[in-house]
Amino acid sequence: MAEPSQRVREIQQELARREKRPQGAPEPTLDCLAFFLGEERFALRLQEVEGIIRVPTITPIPGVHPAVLGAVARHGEVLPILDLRRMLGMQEAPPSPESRVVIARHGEIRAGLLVDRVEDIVTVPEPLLRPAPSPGGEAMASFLQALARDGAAMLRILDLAALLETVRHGT
Amino acid sequence: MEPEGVRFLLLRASERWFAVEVGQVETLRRRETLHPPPVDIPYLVGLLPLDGTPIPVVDLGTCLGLSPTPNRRDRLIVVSRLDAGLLAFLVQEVRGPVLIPWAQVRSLPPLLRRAQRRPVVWALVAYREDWIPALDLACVLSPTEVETLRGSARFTKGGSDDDAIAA
Repeated sequence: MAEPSQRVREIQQELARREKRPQGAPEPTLDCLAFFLGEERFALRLQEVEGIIRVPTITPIPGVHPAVLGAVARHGEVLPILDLRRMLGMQEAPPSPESRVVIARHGEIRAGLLVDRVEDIVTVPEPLLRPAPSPGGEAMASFLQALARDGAAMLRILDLAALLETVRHGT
Repeated sequence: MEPEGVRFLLLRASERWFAVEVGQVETLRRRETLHPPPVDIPYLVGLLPLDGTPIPVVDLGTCLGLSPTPNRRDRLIVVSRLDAGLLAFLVQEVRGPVLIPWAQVRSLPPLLRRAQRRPVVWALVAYREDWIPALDLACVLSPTEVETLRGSARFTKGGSDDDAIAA
């Protein structure tokens, strides 16, 4: 007998999950800010997002991680600006009118992440989250916290702590 | 340092502007003839005879990982007094000194301070419409690198001046 397809298995798992849940119980969810790098869809946990700004004039800082585009002075502090494409090992692309800087914060560390296009806030049911693939293959695998399938599109939820730690150590 | 701000010299190297606190600069020299480098170090452009003592001259741009500064006849050299002694930096242009108010000097966040091998850039400084990285010249090279340079300069001093060729 043929095995059910991956998609059918996912639907079956979702049905089983829904059937197990007590009637009326709220489903745990994760709010994220979704954005694009090229055609790839990524997200940050909303609790790690402080704001979104247009791409400012960036002052380059010599001698730092190549993914650090530089810094901007904003509201009395200096904000590092990171090129997410470079961090994730993707092909570089110049900023477009749709590009934005997502201001993210992890603990006391705040940084701006250059993205190609901001999509929206998306709410992901937590049971739909899948663990990220183990690092080793793609450069970006080290920076993924989880994957979620949202309809036909894959949403890659980034590990902000891992991104910032890599920049901090200059590796 | 003055109560209303910090006095900086603005240096251009590799087509970029940097700010250096004036206290780090001993003197500026223009159109000086340099002795050729006694050792082959990529960022060492020559030796500057200063009061009879050869001072290593390094290209600030190359030291910062940027493109080399053109070493022309009208070269401009910034001499800085470091803990280890005098060290000179080849730059393209110097402006100032300018007094930058405290509110226009912003320290670098920990992420960027720690992301550097040495804390070369320590702040951003607002000048006209731009923000310029403020450099600590004492951190541009490691103490070992400075010692190597100064050792090679001392070796040159011990040799005959007739061996030196004007750059």
